[in-house]
Amino acid sequence: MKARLEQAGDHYHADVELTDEDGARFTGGADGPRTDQDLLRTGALAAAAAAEQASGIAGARVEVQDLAVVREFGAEIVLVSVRATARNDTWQLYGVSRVRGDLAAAAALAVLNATNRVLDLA
Amino acid sequence: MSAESAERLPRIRLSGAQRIPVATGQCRVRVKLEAPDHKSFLGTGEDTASLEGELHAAAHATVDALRQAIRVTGKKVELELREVATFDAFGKPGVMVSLRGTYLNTERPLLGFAALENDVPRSVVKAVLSATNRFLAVLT
Repeated sequence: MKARLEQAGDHYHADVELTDEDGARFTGGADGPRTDQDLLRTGALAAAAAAEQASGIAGARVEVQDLAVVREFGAEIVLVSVRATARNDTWQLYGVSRVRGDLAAAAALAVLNATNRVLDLA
Repeated sequence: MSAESAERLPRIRLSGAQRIPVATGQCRVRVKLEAPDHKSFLGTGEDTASLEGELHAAAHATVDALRQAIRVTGKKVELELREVATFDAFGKPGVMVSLRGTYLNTERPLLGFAALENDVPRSVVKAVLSATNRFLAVLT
């Protein structure tokens, strides 16, 4: 996964690119206001859009619900809850990722952690 | 299918998780994981009879079963359980696990989370699989 965050005026723009084992690329983008909470959400929304495409499942949908940064196991961790829909099934899922400097990238990884089993992304 | 992908660890799924009655003061958890070809891997873990003990027993049982699944592939992968904790997330209880995966002399910290439901062992298995799923699936 590659995540790129840009600041454009009073907005963030995030792009998340996923590559499958055959080298095909799937990109999701999202915009959000320039606040810490929206930085997280923008990264998560971009990852959700990329995951929908990468799944290859017609009508697959990943809806980002809640996001939080918590401290556990001595590390800063992004926690996300998402609702994923695919093939007429819906799952309530949670994902986590350690923060390594970039909050938007951590939020994107947390979305992938939540969805990779049901969307078969790994 | 290429030879490389044929050696990959197949997607492992939870088949069952069960608390087994043992002597007073102890709890034992048995976890059964299943590969797509219906090959199953049974792991066990034991700890003290408490919520914390049950969490640890279930996590150890899951790692035990995963190690057996990894062994079948012949890959030099190590999994080590580091921490298990309950956690409030968005107003609901959850369980978070931390593991360390090692492959080709490279260590990777792994994190997983699942909602904590009445079936505690099952919740823990989901958290461990959430942590290890991607790491194990992309081994080449």
